[in-house]
Order: sequence, then C-alpha cells, then structure tokens
Amino acid sequence: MSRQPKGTRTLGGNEGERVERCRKVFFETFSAYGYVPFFAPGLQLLESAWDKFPPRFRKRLITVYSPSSEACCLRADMTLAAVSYLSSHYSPQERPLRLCYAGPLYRAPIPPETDFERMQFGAELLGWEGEGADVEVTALLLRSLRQLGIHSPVVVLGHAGFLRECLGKLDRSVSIPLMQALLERRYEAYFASLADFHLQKEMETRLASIPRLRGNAASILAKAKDLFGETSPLKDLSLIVEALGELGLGENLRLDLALARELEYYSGPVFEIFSGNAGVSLGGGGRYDGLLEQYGIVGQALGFGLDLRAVASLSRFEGSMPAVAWCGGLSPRVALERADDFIASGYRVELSWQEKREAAIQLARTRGYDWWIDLAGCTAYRLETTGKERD
Amino acid sequence: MFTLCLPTGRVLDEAVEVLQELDIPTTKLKERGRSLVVQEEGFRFLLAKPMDVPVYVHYGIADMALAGSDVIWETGASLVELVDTGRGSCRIVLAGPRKIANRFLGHESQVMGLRVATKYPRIAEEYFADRGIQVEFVHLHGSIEMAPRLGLSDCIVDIVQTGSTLKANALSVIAEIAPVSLKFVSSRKSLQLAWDAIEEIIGKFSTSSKKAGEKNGEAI
Repeated sequence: MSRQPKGTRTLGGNEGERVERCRKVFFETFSAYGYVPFFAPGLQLLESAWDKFPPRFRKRLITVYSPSSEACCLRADMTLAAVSYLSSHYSPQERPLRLCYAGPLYRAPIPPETDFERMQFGAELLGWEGEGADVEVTALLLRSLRQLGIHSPVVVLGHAGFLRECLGKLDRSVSIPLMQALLERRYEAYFASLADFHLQKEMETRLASIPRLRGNAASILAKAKDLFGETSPLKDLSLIVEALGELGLGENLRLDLALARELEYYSGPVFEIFSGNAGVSLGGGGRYDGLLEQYGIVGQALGFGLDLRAVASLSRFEGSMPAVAWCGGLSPRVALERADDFIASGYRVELSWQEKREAAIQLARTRGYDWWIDLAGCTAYRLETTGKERD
Repeated sequence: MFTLCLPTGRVLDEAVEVLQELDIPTTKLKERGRSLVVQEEGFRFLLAKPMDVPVYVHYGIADMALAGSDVIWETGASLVELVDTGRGSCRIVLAGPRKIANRFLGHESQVMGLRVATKYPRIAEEYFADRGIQVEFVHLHGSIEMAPRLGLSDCIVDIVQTGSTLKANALSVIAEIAPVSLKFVSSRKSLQLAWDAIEEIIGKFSTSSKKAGEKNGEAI
C-alpha cells in the first residue's frame, strides 16, 4: 500500500477532469483579455514574505530550507510572487501587467479543514492607475463561473478602506480589537467592545451600524451614504456596483461593509464569492495598492484566488460525450482518422485496441460512459442500463 | 427551509428555551423521540453532539446554530458569531490539586513538563503555548476531573459551572481561561445569502432581550 502525506490529495478520474476543465475555462476567459499565464516557484523566501503577512497567517506558513540553505516557505500566496515579478521584470512603461495562474498553495490547515495543499486559480491586474480594473476582474470572474455552469454565484463586495476610515479615527487601543472582531467575524464581540469603550453616541451609532450594512447593493449603499456621507470608499463601491449592473451582473452582487479579509495588504474594494452548499467562500480577492507601494510601484493592483477543487465540484459541463472507441482491427492511422471525425461531432473518445468488441463495451461501462463507438462500422451506440445498445 | 443545528445533551433544553423566546416553533422538537432531524414549519433542526455543531455550520449543512463558545474555539470552525445568548454560562479553567496549584504561583520552570488532561486539546495547547510553558497533553473525552486523582495527569483544562465536581475530586481552579456561553452563529455563506432570514431571527432576539430587561444578548 502506498500512502501519501496527510493533508495532501491526488486529484484524478472525474474530479481531475473537472478541475482541468475549470482551469482551462478560466485560462481561456482571462487570456482572451490579455492575462498572461504565470508560473511562480513553489518556494518563497521567508525574508521577503514574512513582513507582508499578518502574524496569524505567518503561523500557517510551512517552512523548509532550499538546497542552498535559504530559509523558505512553501508557496502560501501568489500575489507576492506576482508583485515581485512585476517590479523586477517590467519597466513602468510596460504596465499594467495582467497575470493568471493555476497551481497549489500551501498553508497549515485550520480545523476542521485538513488539507494543507490547495489548488487555486487566480488572476492579478497590476500597475493600472485609472478606473475599471475592479469591474474588469469581477466581470471576467463571473463570466468564467457562468461558463462553468455555476449560474448563481454571489460576489460579496466590501471595502478595506471603508473600515480603515471608520475605525482609523479611534485610538488604536479601541480600533484594533474592533478590527480584529470584524476580521474574525465575531460580531457579538464587536458589539461588546463598542459598549465597553464608551464612545461618543454618534460615533457608537455609526460603528454599530457597520455589521448590519449587508445585502442588496443599491439599498446598502444608500443607507451607508446617509450614515457616513459620500466618502471615497463608498464612491469606489458605487462605481463598481453601477458598472456591474450595466453588464447585467447586478443580481450576482451583494454588499457587506463589515467584510474584512485575512491578509492585511488589502487597501480598497475587496470581495468574496459564494455558491452552492459550501459554508465558506469559494475564494475572494481585492485591491492591494499598498503592497505595490512597498515594492516602489505606483498604481492599483487587484487580484483574486479561487479554490479550484471547490469550483470544480459545483461545475456543470454541457460538452463532449465521453465514449470508448473500439478500433476493431483497424490500422492505427485509420482508427485515429475515424476517431477525429467522432471528436469533431462532439464525442471525447478513449481508444480501445482490444480484439473483442465486448471488452471495449465493458470498458465503457466500467468508465461510466454512456457511449461506445465501433470505429470499423463508423457507428456510435448508446449504452442502455439494461445491457442493450442502441444506435 | 432554514436549517438550525442544536447541541444535544444538557444544553439542549436551554437552546430550546432560546428558540421559544424567539417564537421559533419547537413543538416537534420537544416531541422528537430519537429523531436527530426534525422539521417544523419553515425550519429544519439538526441535533448534533455539541463538539460537532460548529462543524455542521462550517461546511454549510446548517445555516445557523446555537453553539457553546468553548466548542467554537476548540473546533476552529470558520463561522460568524452573531449573538451571545448569555445562556449556558460556565468557564474554561485550568484546575489541579493544591500542590500543583502552588507550583503555578512560582517561576514557570516549576510547571514545565506537567501532564494536562483535557477534552479541549486545541484550547489547552494555545493557552500553554502563549505562556511559553511546555506541557504534555492527554486527550480524554469525559470525566476529566478524575485524571489527576488517578495519576493520569497533574492538572486539567475543562469547563466548570458550579465547581462542585472539582471540589468533589479535590481540585481547585488555578486559572480562568475563558468564559463560555451559548452563541448564535451562522455560516459565512448563509450570512450573505440568507441575511434577511438571519436578521429577522436575531432581531427577535434583541426584542426578547429587551423585554426581559437583560443586558446580555446584544444583537447584531
């Protein structure tokens, strides 16, 4: 018996196929809009990653030494690698840079999760100084999900700057526990802290409203503007909501002004994506202009990451029909040519070189396919559950 | 159908009382017999071991739950803590016999290498690790209090309500780790996709707390 490390997973069979198809759809959608595939090393130097991650996240890094005795961690985040790549490989004239990637990320799991290795798809738009990046990335992401048959994903929008602006006016001894409670989604602790700090009534009322500002984007924006005025973060969100609405994606949108993401480098609009039965999000992302500044780059940066396996489990493909194609004594050249014709007609074929047609039919049944093809007779048969075949 | 997960055992009665105060139907829940899934009007109730309740929420099987803050911490489940009901109050404590308690008054070197019995290995590990104290853990599933008496451990990390069980086993509280109470929690997905329903439920909680003139139960 061969074991594999606890917390890792082999993706094969139908699941592997689904993951690969999802990866392909994401890559096709994003690369059509100029996103270039990006392959980052599996190791990150601890010295360059450490101060970019908050303490809670650092505890989840899986540290190793490279063969050159450099202290590293297994790649825990793709954004740092993307920003580092931009800063070192692209001059300011070549920006913005659009990247997309798919690959494993490694973080120590938080129970009840057990996997430390996760397949992730993501995209990053780096170094753009105008408007539109948030809408572009969100719209492409939603389009990809629709192509995958996930028709009702919900993008929940928040704004890291909104929370910083609201809490930044307070003493750090007050703002830090409040921010921590929002980050950990411990709203009862947030309210308990608010009561303990004895803030001015108006301030307390405003801060108490934040965890309730959630739901329909237009109405929440209107309520927030009444309470907080036309602040810059709320203007950002208005523009995004309006633009996505014009693209027909308004139904997929919710607002949650208490939304805070784990990584502290987020500085602008942030989002999480929900769908299906999973209790947690499929992934998320947001704007992280501050991280670019740390690398001496001016401009906006935006990215997201999705759990590819979770997305694959929700995907519904209406596409090729898998079939076993029996070569029936044909030469390889003829068999491949005829298989090409069936592939062009919408089949996905697995060639069977077995001598007996029954063996090919049995293979199709074992695979769980609905079809088997007799290439010699140029005929496709639907496999009935009764054991009969139908032309 | 809105799914609520409730803890079985001694805390279930308190959970049902909370639901009653919120005008959530509980007739079938009270007459459930051995059923672990009960449906009534627009609600489906799942009855699970207290330690499993946060897990049902984490994986999105339940929209909401009443879960103890001890099991929320211990399981590490990713969920949203909405309201502290103030019910089911107790504490997680470090407790031990007097001679061990005295060692905790001195230098930390006095307590290095102690053996700690607990059904909360994660909480206990965090508590001691934060203080730089290296101890050995024995993970038990019940009757923790007898472990020091039988020589299985030097001290325990466990929940305490009145302290009478500790006293009966010649143990005393060495340190308070955290207060425990029953909390209304929701999954992160349901918070976003079923916010209207959640807001209605916790809104009722707020009203019911005010009616009762209680300070606890600050509702979102």
